[in-house]
Amino acid sequence: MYRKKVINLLTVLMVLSVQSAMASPLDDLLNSYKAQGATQFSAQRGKQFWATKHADKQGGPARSCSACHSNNLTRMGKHIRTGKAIKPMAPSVNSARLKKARKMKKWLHRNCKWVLGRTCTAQEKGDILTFINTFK
Amino acid sequence: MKNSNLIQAILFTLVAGLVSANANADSGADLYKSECSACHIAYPPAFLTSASWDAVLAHLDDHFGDNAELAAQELASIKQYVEKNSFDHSRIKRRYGNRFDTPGTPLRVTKTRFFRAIHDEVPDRLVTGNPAVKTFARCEVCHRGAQYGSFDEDEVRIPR
Repeated sequence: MYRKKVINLLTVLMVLSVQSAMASPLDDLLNSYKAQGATQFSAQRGKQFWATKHADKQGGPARSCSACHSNNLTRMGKHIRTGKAIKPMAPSVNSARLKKARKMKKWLHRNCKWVLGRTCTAQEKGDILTFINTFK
Repeated sequence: MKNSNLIQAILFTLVAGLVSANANADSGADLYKSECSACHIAYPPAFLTSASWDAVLAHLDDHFGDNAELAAQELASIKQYVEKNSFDHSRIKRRYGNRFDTPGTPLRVTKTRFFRAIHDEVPDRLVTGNPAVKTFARCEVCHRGAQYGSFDEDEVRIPR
């Protein structure tokens, strides 16, 4: 009886761990970008994208990912317009990052439009996520 | 403190209205709270009319200069919640009729007649001229229970 319970528990744990090893929300999202035509993702391209400045059409300070998040993703950021404090983006220091598909999609959509004035391509989004995910 | 009885009565009914609005919490309420408190306090829906909420929610891609767009489904759910609990359905509206109706469709709580009426005794130097406060938009700086939907006058502490 007891042994059976332990075996059941272990089976459940194994299934869960295999599931999570197979498909994290981040992997799912990256795969969906590939399905939309993106090729291999590059942290290096993501890094460049992150720092690239875009003029603000209304004459405010130039916008970029790094303007609010900084180039050091292990540090706190600060929104250049609202002053809102932003927690570090790097999962290596902030384990809450890149865990929820809904959140990743929401902020990529909002921030691409705010910074670039357009939505990002699947390739750009994959590169950005890969850069954030591997930042040390 | 002229009109202070009226103000207290107004505040009381306002807070009571907020509490009753919380009672019929649904996913719209939860979504509203989690999404709309990410950057500022979630202003109680009763602070704006349904028409004002519609106008705010129709332009989330330029939300006072920031992009606050939501997925269509979440937007619909939040819209339903704020409209159901807007100023139009508040106790203030029921009790005072059109007395606090604001002409036009203000997007900011601070532009509403009700807000102005209950803050007319607060001089600018304590808020916009006060580095510790800066703006009337951050209710929680002075209304210490604002995050919990409480705007009782007794809880007001203006930082110096």
